[in-house]
Amino acid sequence: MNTLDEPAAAAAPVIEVYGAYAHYGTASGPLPVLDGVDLAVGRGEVLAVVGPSGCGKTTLLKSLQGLAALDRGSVTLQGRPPAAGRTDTGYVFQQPSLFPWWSVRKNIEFGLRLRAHSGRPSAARRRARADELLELVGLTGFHDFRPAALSGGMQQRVNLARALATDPVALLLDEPFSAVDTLTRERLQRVLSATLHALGTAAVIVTHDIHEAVFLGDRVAVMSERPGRIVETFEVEEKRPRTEEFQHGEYLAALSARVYQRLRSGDERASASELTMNREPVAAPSPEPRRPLSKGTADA
Amino acid sequence: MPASAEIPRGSWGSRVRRLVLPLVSIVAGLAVWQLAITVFSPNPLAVVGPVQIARDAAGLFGAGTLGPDIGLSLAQLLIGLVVATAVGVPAGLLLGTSRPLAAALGPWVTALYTIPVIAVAPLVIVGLGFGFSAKVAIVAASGFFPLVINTQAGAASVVGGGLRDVTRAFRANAFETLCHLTLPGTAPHILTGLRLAIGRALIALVAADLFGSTSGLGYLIISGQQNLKTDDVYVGVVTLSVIGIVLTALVAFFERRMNETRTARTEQA
Repeated sequence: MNTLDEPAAAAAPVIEVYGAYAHYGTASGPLPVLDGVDLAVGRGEVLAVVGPSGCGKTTLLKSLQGLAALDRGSVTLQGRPPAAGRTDTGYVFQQPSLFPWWSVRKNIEFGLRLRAHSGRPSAARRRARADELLELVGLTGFHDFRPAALSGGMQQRVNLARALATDPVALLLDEPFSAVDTLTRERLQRVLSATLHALGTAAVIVTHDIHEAVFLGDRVAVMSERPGRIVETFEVEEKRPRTEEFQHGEYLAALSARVYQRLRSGDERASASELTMNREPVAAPSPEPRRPLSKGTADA
Repeated sequence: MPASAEIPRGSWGSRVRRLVLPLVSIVAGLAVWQLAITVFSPNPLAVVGPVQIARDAAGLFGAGTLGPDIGLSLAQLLIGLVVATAVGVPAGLLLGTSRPLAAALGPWVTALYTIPVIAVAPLVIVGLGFGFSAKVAIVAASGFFPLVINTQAGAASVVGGGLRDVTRAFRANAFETLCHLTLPGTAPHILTGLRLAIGRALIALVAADLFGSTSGLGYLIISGQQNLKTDDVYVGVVTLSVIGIVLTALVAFFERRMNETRTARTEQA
Protein backbone atom coordinates (compact mmCIF):
# COMPACT_ATOMS: atom_id res chain seq x y z
CA MET A 1 0.00 0.00 0.00
CA ASN A 2 1.08 3.55 -0.56
CA THR A 3 1.45 5.40 2.62
CA LEU A 4 0.72 9.04 3.17
CA ASP A 5 2.81 9.34 6.30
CA GLU A 6 5.31 11.88 4.99
CA PRO A 7 3.74 15.26 4.37
CA ALA A 8 6.52 16.24 1.98
CA ALA A 9 6.02 13.12 -0.08
CA ALA A 10 2.29 13.66 -0.08
CA ALA A 11 2.71 17.14 -1.46
CA ALA A 12 5.20 16.18 -4.16
CA PRO A 13 3.59 15.08 -7.41
CA VAL A 14 3.89 11.43 -8.34
CA ILE A 15 3.97 12.18 -12.04
CA GLU A 16 5.24 15.37 -13.61
CA VAL A 17 5.42 16.25 -17.28
CA TYR A 18 7.05 19.44 -18.50
CA GLY A 19 6.80 20.70 -22.04
CA ALA A 20 6.27 17.37 -23.76
CA TYR A 21 6.71 17.46 -27.52
CA ALA A 22 6.44 14.36 -29.69
CA HIS A 23 5.79 13.42 -33.29
CA TYR A 24 4.77 10.46 -35.42
CA GLY A 25 7.13 9.48 -38.18
CA THR A 26 5.06 9.26 -41.36
CA ALA A 27 5.87 8.74 -45.02
CA SER A 28 5.36 12.43 -45.67
CA GLY A 29 7.58 13.53 -42.80
CA PRO A 30 7.16 14.02 -39.08
CA LEU A 31 3.65 14.70 -37.85
CA PRO A 32 3.59 16.51 -34.51
CA VAL A 33 1.34 14.84 -31.90
CA LEU A 34 2.21 16.50 -28.63
CA ASP A 35 2.66 20.23 -28.58
CA GLY A 36 3.96 21.15 -25.17
CA VAL A 37 2.00 19.19 -22.63
CA ASP A 38 2.46 19.97 -18.94
CA LEU A 39 0.81 18.02 -16.20
CA ALA A 40 1.24 16.93 -12.64
CA VAL A 41 -0.52 14.20 -10.71
CA GLY A 42 -0.42 14.19 -6.95
CA ARG A 43 -0.20 11.18 -4.70
CA GLY A 44 -3.43 9.22 -4.86
CA GLU A 45 -4.92 11.64 -7.37
CA VAL A 46 -6.79 10.58 -10.49
CA LEU A 47 -6.31 12.68 -13.61
CA ALA A 48 -8.57 11.93 -16.55
CA VAL A 49 -7.39 13.11 -19.96
CA VAL A 50 -10.00 13.55 -22.69
CA GLY A 51 -9.38 14.58 -26.23
CA PRO A 52 -10.36 13.92 -29.81
CA SER A 53 -9.07 10.81 -31.57
CA GLY A 54 -5.45 11.08 -32.61
CA CYS A 55 -4.69 14.03 -30.34
CA GLY A 56 -1.76 12.19 -28.80
CA LYS A 57 -3.43 10.92 -25.61
CA THR A 58 -1.96 7.46 -25.98
CA THR A 59 1.45 8.84 -26.92
CA LEU A 60 1.36 10.96 -23.77
CA LEU A 61 0.45 7.96 -21.63
CA LYS A 62 3.07 5.77 -23.27
CA SER A 63 5.72 8.39 -22.64
CA LEU A 64 4.83 8.22 -18.95
CA GLN A 65 5.60 4.50 -18.99
CA GLY A 66 8.71 4.98 -21.07
CA LEU A 67 7.08 3.20 -24.02
CA ALA A 68 7.21 6.24 -26.28
CA ALA A 69 9.99 8.73 -26.70
CA LEU A 70 9.49 12.46 -26.47
CA ASP A 71 11.24 14.92 -28.78
CA ARG A 72 11.56 17.38 -25.97
CA GLY A 73 10.33 17.83 -22.47
CA SER A 74 10.66 15.74 -19.40
CA VAL A 75 8.71 13.08 -17.59
CA THR A 76 9.42 12.22 -14.00
CA LEU A 77 7.92 9.58 -11.76
CA GLN A 78 8.45 10.49 -8.13
CA GLY A 79 11.18 12.83 -9.22
CA ARG A 80 13.09 10.43 -11.48
CA PRO A 81 12.77 9.61 -15.19
CA PRO A 82 10.85 6.44 -16.14
CA ALA A 83 13.72 4.04 -16.74
CA ALA A 84 14.39 0.34 -16.76
CA GLY A 85 13.72 -1.31 -13.46
CA ARG A 86 11.01 1.10 -12.35
CA THR A 87 7.85 -0.51 -11.06
CA ASP A 88 6.11 2.54 -9.72
CA THR A 89 3.61 2.69 -12.55
CA GLY A 90 1.25 -0.01 -13.79
CA TYR A 91 -0.10 0.14 -17.33
CA VAL A 92 -3.55 -0.99 -18.44
CA PHE A 93 -3.91 -1.42 -22.18
CA GLN A 94 -6.91 -0.60 -24.29
CA GLN A 95 -7.28 -4.19 -25.45
CA PRO A 96 -7.40 -6.99 -22.92
CA SER A 97 -3.84 -8.16 -23.37
CA LEU A 98 -3.49 -11.21 -21.18
CA PHE A 99 -1.11 -14.07 -21.88
CA PRO A 100 -3.44 -16.72 -23.33
CA TRP A 101 -1.31 -19.65 -22.15
CA TRP A 102 -1.53 -18.69 -18.49
CA SER A 103 -4.31 -18.86 -15.96
CA VAL A 104 -5.80 -15.68 -14.59
CA ARG A 105 -3.69 -16.01 -11.46
CA LYS A 106 -0.42 -16.45 -13.34
CA ASN A 107 -1.28 -13.47 -15.48
CA ILE A 108 -1.77 -11.33 -12.40
CA GLU A 109 1.49 -12.61 -10.93
CA PHE A 110 3.41 -11.64 -14.07
CA GLY A 111 4.96 -8.44 -12.80
CA LEU A 112 5.89 -10.05 -9.50
CA ARG A 113 7.92 -12.73 -11.25
CA LEU A 114 10.15 -10.28 -13.10
CA ARG A 115 13.56 -9.05 -12.05
CA ALA A 116 12.34 -5.49 -12.46
CA HIS A 117 10.26 -6.05 -9.37
CA SER A 118 12.74 -5.62 -6.59
CA GLY A 119 10.82 -7.70 -4.09
CA ARG A 120 10.27 -10.79 -6.25
CA PRO A 121 8.15 -12.44 -3.62
CA SER A 122 7.87 -16.18 -3.07
CA ALA A 123 5.35 -18.28 -4.96
CA ALA A 124 3.06 -18.36 -1.94
CA ARG A 125 3.24 -14.58 -1.51
CA ARG A 126 2.54 -14.03 -5.23
CA ARG A 127 -0.41 -16.32 -5.04
CA ALA A 128 -1.81 -14.57 -2.01
CA ARG A 129 -1.35 -11.20 -3.71
CA ALA A 130 -3.11 -12.41 -6.85
CA ASP A 131 -6.05 -13.75 -4.88
CA GLU A 132 -6.28 -10.52 -2.91
CA LEU A 133 -6.45 -8.52 -6.14
CA LEU A 134 -8.96 -10.90 -7.67
CA GLU A 135 -11.21 -10.23 -4.73
CA LEU A 136 -10.70 -6.50 -5.12
CA VAL A 137 -11.79 -6.55 -8.77
CA GLY A 138 -14.63 -8.95 -8.04
CA LEU A 139 -13.31 -12.09 -9.67
CA THR A 140 -12.81 -14.36 -6.66
CA GLY A 141 -12.85 -17.98 -7.74
CA PHE A 142 -11.72 -17.33 -11.29
CA HIS A 143 -8.01 -17.80 -10.57
CA ASP A 144 -7.63 -20.99 -12.59
CA PHE A 145 -9.56 -19.75 -15.61
CA ARG A 146 -7.82 -19.05 -18.86
CA PRO A 147 -8.31 -15.61 -20.41
CA ALA A 148 -10.12 -17.14 -23.40
CA ALA A 149 -12.86 -18.38 -21.08
CA LEU A 150 -13.56 -14.89 -19.73
CA SER A 151 -15.70 -12.14 -21.20
CA GLY A 152 -14.05 -8.93 -22.36
CA GLY A 153 -15.08 -7.12 -19.21
CA MET A 154 -13.72 -9.86 -16.97
CA GLN A 155 -10.46 -9.87 -18.91
CA GLN A 156 -10.16 -6.14 -18.37
CA ARG A 157 -10.63 -6.69 -14.62
CA VAL A 158 -7.75 -9.16 -14.73
CA ASN A 159 -5.69 -6.58 -16.64
CA LEU A 160 -6.41 -4.09 -13.89
CA ALA A 161 -5.43 -6.59 -11.21
CA ARG A 162 -2.23 -7.43 -13.09
CA ALA A 163 -1.24 -3.77 -13.32
CA LEU A 164 -1.88 -3.35 -9.59
CA ALA A 165 0.00 -6.46 -8.48
CA THR A 166 3.38 -4.78 -8.17
CA ASP A 167 1.79 -2.13 -5.96
CA PRO A 168 2.49 0.87 -8.20
CA VAL A 169 2.06 4.39 -6.91
CA ALA A 170 0.30 5.28 -10.12
CA LEU A 171 -1.74 3.46 -12.71
CA LEU A 172 -1.76 4.49 -16.37
CA LEU A 173 -4.92 3.47 -18.19
CA ASP A 174 -5.37 3.77 -21.95
CA GLU A 175 -9.09 3.76 -22.77
CA PRO A 176 -9.41 0.70 -20.60
CA PHE A 177 -13.13 0.12 -21.05
CA SER A 178 -13.66 1.20 -24.63
CA ALA A 179 -14.07 -2.36 -25.87
CA VAL A 180 -16.90 -3.38 -23.53
CA ASP A 181 -20.63 -2.73 -23.58
CA THR A 182 -22.15 0.24 -21.75
CA LEU A 183 -23.47 -1.59 -18.69
CA THR A 184 -20.22 -3.46 -18.19
CA ARG A 185 -18.29 -0.26 -18.74
CA GLU A 186 -20.18 1.57 -16.01
CA ARG A 187 -19.73 -1.35 -13.64
CA LEU A 188 -16.01 -1.50 -14.40
CA GLN A 189 -15.71 2.23 -13.85
CA ARG A 190 -17.14 1.76 -10.36
CA VAL A 191 -14.79 -1.16 -9.74
CA LEU A 192 -11.84 0.96 -10.85
CA SER A 193 -12.90 3.93 -8.77
CA ALA A 194 -13.32 1.79 -5.67
CA THR A 195 -10.06 -0.07 -6.27
CA LEU A 196 -7.98 3.08 -6.73
CA HIS A 197 -9.56 4.53 -3.64
CA ALA A 198 -8.96 1.40 -1.58
CA LEU A 199 -5.29 1.25 -2.56
CA GLY A 200 -4.62 4.99 -2.59
CA THR A 201 -3.17 4.62 -6.07
CA ALA A 202 -2.83 7.65 -8.30
CA ALA A 203 -3.92 7.29 -11.92
CA VAL A 204 -3.82 8.89 -15.31
CA ILE A 205 -6.72 7.65 -17.38
CA VAL A 206 -6.89 8.50 -21.03
CA THR A 207 -10.33 8.25 -22.58
CA HIS A 208 -12.59 9.70 -25.23
CA ASP A 209 -15.61 9.03 -23.02
CA ILE A 210 -16.40 12.30 -21.23
CA HIS A 211 -18.71 10.72 -18.66
CA GLU A 212 -16.02 8.21 -17.83
CA ALA A 213 -13.49 10.99 -17.41
CA VAL A 214 -15.74 12.97 -15.07
CA PHE A 215 -16.80 9.89 -13.14
CA LEU A 216 -13.25 8.70 -12.53
CA GLY A 217 -11.20 11.86 -12.39
CA ASP A 218 -10.41 14.22 -9.56
CA ARG A 219 -9.51 16.49 -12.44
CA VAL A 220 -10.35 16.26 -16.12
CA ALA A 221 -7.78 17.62 -18.55
CA VAL A 222 -9.09 18.49 -22.01
CA MET A 223 -6.69 18.08 -24.89
CA SER A 224 -6.83 19.90 -28.19
CA GLU A 225 -6.83 18.38 -31.64
CA ARG A 226 -3.49 17.02 -32.81
CA PRO A 227 -0.90 18.25 -32.05
CA GLY A 228 -2.31 17.90 -28.58
CA ARG A 229 -1.99 20.37 -25.75
CA ILE A 230 -3.95 20.57 -22.56
CA VAL A 231 -6.35 23.45 -23.15
CA GLU A 232 -8.25 23.33 -19.90
CA THR A 233 -8.48 21.37 -16.70
CA PHE A 234 -11.73 20.87 -14.82
CA GLU A 235 -11.96 20.10 -11.15
CA VAL A 236 -14.47 17.39 -10.18
CA GLU A 237 -15.87 18.26 -6.80
CA GLU A 238 -16.95 14.87 -5.57
CA LYS A 239 -15.31 12.60 -3.04
CA ARG A 240 -14.21 9.15 -4.06
CA PRO A 241 -15.15 6.34 -4.19
CA ARG A 242 -17.99 7.43 -6.37
CA THR A 243 -21.36 5.81 -6.45
CA GLU A 244 -23.81 4.73 -9.07
CA GLU A 245 -25.98 7.72 -8.07
CA PHE A 246 -23.12 10.07 -8.90
CA GLN A 247 -22.57 8.18 -12.14
CA HIS A 248 -26.13 9.03 -13.25
CA GLY A 249 -26.55 12.23 -11.32
CA GLU A 250 -27.04 15.81 -12.44
CA TYR A 251 -23.63 17.06 -11.37
CA LEU A 252 -21.84 14.58 -13.59
CA ALA A 253 -24.16 15.35 -16.48
CA ALA A 254 -23.68 19.10 -16.11
CA LEU A 255 -19.92 18.94 -15.79
CA SER A 256 -19.75 16.49 -18.69
CA ALA A 257 -21.68 18.98 -20.79
CA ARG A 258 -19.16 21.68 -19.96
CA VAL A 259 -16.24 19.40 -20.76
CA TYR A 260 -17.99 18.51 -24.00
CA GLN A 261 -18.38 22.18 -24.91
CA ARG A 262 -14.71 22.78 -24.21
CA LEU A 263 -13.75 19.76 -26.27
CA ARG A 264 -15.90 20.96 -29.18
CA SER A 265 -14.62 24.49 -29.13
CA GLY A 266 -11.21 22.87 -29.32
CA ASP A 267 -8.07 24.86 -29.28
CA GLU A 268 -9.31 28.16 -30.55
CA ARG A 269 -6.10 30.05 -30.47
CA ALA A 270 -7.78 33.11 -31.96
CA SER A 271 -10.17 33.54 -29.08
CA ALA A 272 -7.38 33.25 -26.60
CA SER A 273 -8.94 35.73 -24.22
CA GLU A 274 -11.03 33.04 -22.61
CA LEU A 275 -8.10 30.67 -22.53
CA THR A 276 -5.64 33.05 -21.00
CA MET A 277 -7.91 33.59 -18.07
CA ASN A 278 -7.61 29.95 -17.22
CA ARG A 279 -4.21 28.87 -18.30
CA GLU A 280 -0.90 30.29 -19.22
CA PRO A 281 -0.88 31.86 -22.65
CA VAL A 282 0.10 29.66 -25.51
CA ALA A 283 3.67 30.66 -26.01
CA ALA A 284 6.36 29.53 -28.32
CA PRO A 285 8.10 26.51 -26.79
CA SER A 286 10.52 27.87 -24.28
CA PRO A 287 13.84 26.20 -23.68
CA GLU A 288 13.14 26.40 -19.96
CA PRO A 289 10.62 23.85 -18.77
CA ARG A 290 7.41 25.52 -17.83
CA ARG A 291 5.64 24.89 -14.60
CA PRO A 292 3.01 22.23 -14.86
CA LEU A 293 -0.62 23.13 -14.37
CA SER A 294 -1.24 23.24 -10.71
CA LYS A 295 -4.37 21.75 -9.28
CA GLY A 296 -7.45 23.63 -10.28
CA THR A 297 -5.72 26.21 -12.42
CA ALA A 298 -8.59 26.30 -14.82
CA ASP A 299 -12.25 26.74 -14.29
CA ALA A 300 -12.25 27.45 -10.61
CA MET B 1 -21.39 -14.34 -13.46
CA PRO B 2 -21.50 -15.24 -17.12
CA ALA B 3 -21.06 -18.98 -17.39
CA SER B 4 -18.90 -19.74 -20.38
CA ALA B 5 -19.70 -22.78 -22.41
CA GLU B 6 -17.86 -25.97 -21.61
CA ILE B 7 -15.44 -26.82 -24.38
CA PRO B 8 -15.88 -30.50 -25.26
CA ARG B 9 -12.56 -32.26 -25.00
CA GLY B 10 -11.87 -35.75 -26.31
CA SER B 11 -15.54 -36.40 -26.89
CA TRP B 12 -16.54 -39.64 -28.55
CA GLY B 13 -17.05 -38.07 -31.91
CA SER B 14 -13.63 -36.50 -32.01
CA ARG B 15 -11.93 -39.65 -30.73
CA VAL B 16 -13.57 -41.72 -33.46
CA ARG B 17 -12.43 -39.18 -36.00
CA ARG B 18 -8.93 -39.14 -34.68
CA LEU B 19 -8.18 -42.79 -34.08
CA VAL B 20 -10.75 -45.04 -35.70
CA LEU B 21 -11.13 -43.36 -39.06
CA PRO B 22 -7.41 -43.38 -39.94
CA LEU B 23 -7.15 -47.06 -38.99
CA VAL B 24 -10.22 -48.01 -41.02
CA SER B 25 -8.84 -46.04 -43.93
CA ILE B 26 -5.45 -47.80 -43.79
CA VAL B 27 -6.94 -51.29 -43.46
CA ALA B 28 -9.38 -50.63 -46.29
CA GLY B 29 -6.60 -49.26 -48.49
CA LEU B 30 -4.44 -52.32 -47.87
CA ALA B 31 -7.39 -54.61 -48.67
CA VAL B 32 -8.08 -52.83 -51.95
CA TRP B 33 -4.36 -52.99 -52.79
CA GLN B 34 -4.20 -56.72 -52.10
CA LEU B 35 -7.40 -57.34 -54.04
CA ALA B 36 -6.08 -55.43 -57.04
CA ILE B 37 -2.87 -57.53 -56.98
CA THR B 38 -4.89 -60.75 -56.90
CA VAL B 39 -7.28 -59.68 -59.66
CA PHE B 40 -4.84 -58.02 -62.07
CA SER B 41 -1.64 -59.89 -61.14
CA PRO B 42 0.77 -57.15 -62.32
CA ASN B 43 4.48 -57.63 -62.92
CA PRO B 44 5.88 -58.57 -59.48
CA LEU B 45 9.05 -56.62 -60.28
CA ALA B 46 6.97 -53.45 -60.28
CA VAL B 47 4.22 -53.96 -57.74
CA VAL B 48 3.77 -56.40 -54.90
CA GLY B 49 0.87 -56.73 -52.49
CA PRO B 50 0.75 -56.10 -48.76
CA VAL B 51 0.71 -59.82 -47.98
CA GLN B 52 3.92 -60.36 -49.95
CA ILE B 53 5.50 -57.32 -48.28
CA ALA B 54 4.61 -58.61 -44.84
CA ARG B 55 6.02 -62.04 -45.71
CA ASP B 56 9.29 -60.51 -46.94
CA ALA B 57 9.47 -58.24 -43.88
CA ALA B 58 9.08 -61.24 -41.61
CA GLY B 59 11.83 -63.02 -43.53
CA LEU B 60 14.21 -60.07 -43.30
CA PHE B 61 13.40 -59.69 -39.65
CA GLY B 62 14.04 -63.38 -39.04
CA ALA B 63 17.36 -63.16 -40.89
CA GLY B 64 18.32 -60.45 -38.43
CA THR B 65 18.83 -57.61 -40.92
CA LEU B 66 15.58 -55.60 -40.76
CA GLY B 67 15.82 -54.91 -37.04
CA PRO B 68 19.28 -53.33 -37.19
CA ASP B 69 18.34 -51.47 -40.39
CA ILE B 70 15.37 -49.91 -38.62
CA GLY B 71 17.46 -49.18 -35.54
CA LEU B 72 20.18 -47.47 -37.51
CA SER B 73 17.80 -45.39 -39.59
CA LEU B 74 15.74 -44.40 -36.55
CA ALA B 75 18.89 -43.38 -34.70
CA GLN B 76 20.07 -41.25 -37.64
CA LEU B 77 16.63 -39.75 -38.03
CA LEU B 78 16.09 -38.91 -34.39
CA ILE B 79 19.57 -37.54 -33.79
CA GLY B 80 19.29 -35.53 -36.99
CA LEU B 81 15.95 -34.10 -35.88
CA VAL B 82 17.29 -33.27 -32.43
CA VAL B 83 20.22 -31.42 -34.03
CA ALA B 84 17.85 -29.67 -36.46
CA THR B 85 15.66 -28.55 -33.55
CA ALA B 86 18.58 -27.52 -31.37
CA VAL B 87 19.94 -25.31 -34.15
CA GLY B 88 16.75 -24.41 -36.00
CA VAL B 89 14.67 -23.15 -33.08
CA PRO B 90 17.24 -20.69 -31.71
CA ALA B 91 18.03 -19.58 -35.26
CA GLY B 92 14.32 -19.07 -35.95
CA LEU B 93 13.89 -17.14 -32.70
CA LEU B 94 16.81 -14.89 -33.61
CA LEU B 95 15.52 -14.27 -37.12
CA GLY B 96 11.97 -13.76 -35.88
CA THR B 97 12.94 -11.21 -33.25
CA SER B 98 15.58 -9.25 -35.16
CA ARG B 99 14.49 -7.54 -38.34
CA PRO B 100 18.00 -6.65 -39.50
CA LEU B 101 19.06 -10.26 -39.05
CA ALA B 102 15.98 -11.49 -40.90
CA ALA B 103 16.66 -9.07 -43.74
CA ALA B 104 20.33 -10.03 -43.95
CA LEU B 105 19.93 -13.79 -43.67
CA GLY B 106 16.50 -14.26 -45.27
CA PRO B 107 17.88 -14.78 -48.80
CA TRP B 108 20.34 -17.37 -47.48
CA VAL B 109 17.58 -19.33 -45.80
CA THR B 110 15.47 -19.28 -48.95
CA ALA B 111 18.39 -20.21 -51.19
CA LEU B 112 19.55 -23.07 -49.01
CA TYR B 113 16.00 -24.29 -48.44
CA THR B 114 15.45 -24.81 -52.14
CA ILE B 115 18.60 -26.91 -52.66
CA PRO B 116 17.54 -30.50 -53.40
CA VAL B 117 19.09 -32.72 -50.77
CA ILE B 118 20.01 -35.28 -53.40
CA ALA B 119 22.27 -32.73 -55.10
CA VAL B 120 24.36 -31.97 -52.06
CA ALA B 121 24.26 -35.30 -50.22
CA PRO B 122 27.33 -36.64 -52.07
CA LEU B 123 29.25 -33.48 -51.20
CA VAL B 124 28.43 -33.86 -47.53
CA ILE B 125 29.57 -37.47 -47.71
CA VAL B 126 32.81 -36.41 -49.35
CA GLY B 127 33.27 -34.00 -46.50
CA LEU B 128 32.21 -36.18 -43.58
CA GLY B 129 32.85 -39.68 -44.87
CA PHE B 130 30.48 -42.58 -45.43
CA GLY B 131 29.62 -42.99 -41.80
CA PHE B 132 26.91 -42.18 -39.33
CA SER B 133 27.71 -38.52 -38.89
CA ALA B 134 27.33 -37.69 -42.59
CA LYS B 135 23.84 -39.23 -42.58
CA VAL B 136 22.90 -37.34 -39.45
CA ALA B 137 24.20 -34.10 -40.96
CA ILE B 138 22.11 -34.57 -44.10
CA VAL B 139 18.99 -35.37 -42.07
CA ALA B 140 19.61 -32.42 -39.76
CA ALA B 141 20.16 -30.00 -42.64
CA SER B 142 16.88 -31.06 -44.25
CA GLY B 143 14.91 -30.85 -41.04
CA PHE B 144 16.47 -27.51 -40.15
CA PHE B 145 14.61 -25.43 -42.72
CA PRO B 146 10.98 -26.15 -41.86
CA LEU B 147 11.91 -25.59 -38.23
CA VAL B 148 13.71 -22.32 -38.82
CA ILE B 149 11.04 -20.95 -41.14
CA ASN B 150 8.12 -21.83 -38.88
CA THR B 151 9.86 -20.67 -35.72
CA GLN B 152 10.78 -17.40 -37.37
CA ALA B 153 7.23 -16.76 -38.56
CA GLY B 154 5.83 -17.63 -35.13
CA ALA B 155 8.31 -15.52 -33.20
CA ALA B 156 7.81 -12.55 -35.53
CA SER B 157 4.05 -12.65 -35.04
CA VAL B 158 4.39 -12.92 -31.25
CA VAL B 159 6.93 -10.15 -30.97
CA GLY B 160 4.98 -7.95 -33.40
CA GLY B 161 1.76 -8.52 -31.43
CA GLY B 162 0.23 -6.56 -28.60
CA LEU B 163 1.72 -8.73 -25.87
CA ARG B 164 5.18 -7.34 -26.59
CA ASP B 165 3.90 -4.02 -25.30
CA VAL B 166 2.87 -5.75 -22.10
CA THR B 167 6.32 -7.18 -21.45
CA ARG B 168 7.81 -3.79 -22.23
CA ALA B 169 5.37 -2.02 -19.95
CA PHE B 170 6.32 -4.43 -17.18
CA ARG B 171 9.97 -3.83 -18.05
CA ALA B 172 10.77 -7.47 -18.61
CA ASN B 173 14.38 -7.96 -19.70
CA ALA B 174 15.34 -9.80 -22.88
CA PHE B 175 15.63 -13.17 -21.16
CA GLU B 176 12.29 -12.80 -19.38
CA THR B 177 10.63 -11.73 -22.61
CA LEU B 178 12.03 -14.85 -24.26
CA CYS B 179 10.85 -17.17 -21.47
CA HIS B 180 7.46 -15.64 -20.75
CA LEU B 181 6.43 -14.43 -24.18
CA THR B 182 8.43 -15.48 -27.21
CA LEU B 183 8.93 -19.16 -26.40
CA PRO B 184 5.43 -19.99 -25.18
CA GLY B 185 3.95 -17.93 -27.99
CA THR B 186 6.08 -19.62 -30.62
CA ALA B 187 5.73 -23.17 -29.26
CA PRO B 188 2.80 -24.18 -31.51
CA HIS B 189 4.71 -22.95 -34.56
CA ILE B 190 7.79 -24.91 -33.47
CA LEU B 191 5.74 -28.11 -33.26
CA THR B 192 4.30 -27.46 -36.72
CA GLY B 193 7.83 -26.95 -38.01
CA LEU B 194 8.91 -30.20 -36.39
CA ARG B 195 6.02 -32.07 -37.98
CA LEU B 196 7.04 -30.80 -41.42
CA ALA B 197 10.70 -31.50 -40.65
CA ILE B 198 9.96 -35.19 -40.06
CA GLY B 199 8.74 -35.65 -43.62
CA ARG B 200 11.72 -33.90 -45.14
CA ALA B 201 14.13 -35.74 -42.87
CA LEU B 202 12.79 -39.13 -44.00
CA ILE B 203 13.35 -38.21 -47.64
CA ALA B 204 16.83 -36.97 -46.80
CA LEU B 205 17.61 -40.20 -44.99
CA VAL B 206 16.99 -42.30 -48.09
CA ALA B 207 18.85 -39.81 -50.26
CA ALA B 208 21.82 -40.03 -47.91
CA ASP B 209 21.75 -43.82 -48.07
CA LEU B 210 22.00 -43.64 -51.88
CA PHE B 211 25.66 -42.88 -51.59
CA GLY B 212 27.80 -45.64 -50.24
CA SER B 213 25.92 -47.06 -47.30
CA THR B 214 26.00 -50.63 -46.12
CA SER B 215 22.96 -50.72 -43.86
CA GLY B 216 19.85 -48.79 -42.96
CA LEU B 217 16.41 -48.62 -44.54
CA GLY B 218 17.66 -46.52 -47.44
CA TYR B 219 20.28 -49.15 -48.12
CA LEU B 220 17.58 -51.85 -48.04
CA ILE B 221 15.60 -49.94 -50.67
CA ILE B 222 18.59 -49.20 -52.90
CA SER B 223 20.07 -52.68 -52.76
CA GLY B 224 16.59 -54.06 -53.44
CA GLN B 225 16.41 -51.92 -56.57
CA GLN B 226 19.85 -53.00 -57.72
CA ASN B 227 19.23 -56.70 -57.08
CA LEU B 228 15.69 -56.72 -58.49
CA LYS B 229 14.30 -57.59 -55.07
CA THR B 230 11.17 -55.49 -55.32
CA ASP B 231 9.84 -56.97 -52.08
CA ASP B 232 12.76 -55.41 -50.20
CA VAL B 233 12.12 -52.02 -51.80
CA TYR B 234 8.55 -52.14 -50.57
CA VAL B 235 9.53 -53.29 -47.10
CA GLY B 236 11.91 -50.32 -46.82
CA VAL B 237 9.38 -47.84 -48.16
CA VAL B 238 6.54 -49.10 -45.98
CA THR B 239 8.74 -49.14 -42.87
CA LEU B 240 9.78 -45.55 -43.51
CA SER B 241 6.13 -44.62 -43.97
CA VAL B 242 5.24 -46.24 -40.67
CA ILE B 243 8.05 -44.38 -38.93
CA GLY B 244 6.81 -41.16 -40.52
CA ILE B 245 3.23 -41.79 -39.45
CA VAL B 246 4.20 -42.65 -35.88
CA LEU B 247 6.54 -39.67 -35.41
CA THR B 248 4.11 -37.26 -37.03
CA ALA B 249 1.26 -38.57 -34.89
CA LEU B 250 3.42 -38.11 -31.82
CA VAL B 251 4.13 -34.47 -32.65
CA ALA B 252 0.51 -33.91 -33.68
CA PHE B 253 -0.51 -35.30 -30.30
CA PHE B 254 1.58 -32.66 -28.51
CA GLU B 255 0.30 -29.95 -30.82
CA ARG B 256 -3.26 -30.93 -30.00
CA ARG B 257 -2.53 -31.16 -26.29
CA MET B 258 -1.07 -27.67 -26.37
CA ASN B 259 -4.03 -26.25 -28.23
CA GLU B 260 -6.44 -27.98 -25.89
CA THR B 261 -4.75 -26.70 -22.75
CA ARG B 262 -4.63 -23.20 -24.16
CA THR B 263 -8.26 -23.09 -25.12
CA ALA B 264 -9.42 -24.97 -22.03
CA ARG B 265 -11.59 -23.06 -19.64
CA THR B 266 -9.38 -23.56 -16.63
CA GLU B 267 -5.84 -24.59 -15.98
CA GLN B 268 -6.84 -27.84 -14.34
CA ALA B 269 -9.30 -28.89 -17.00
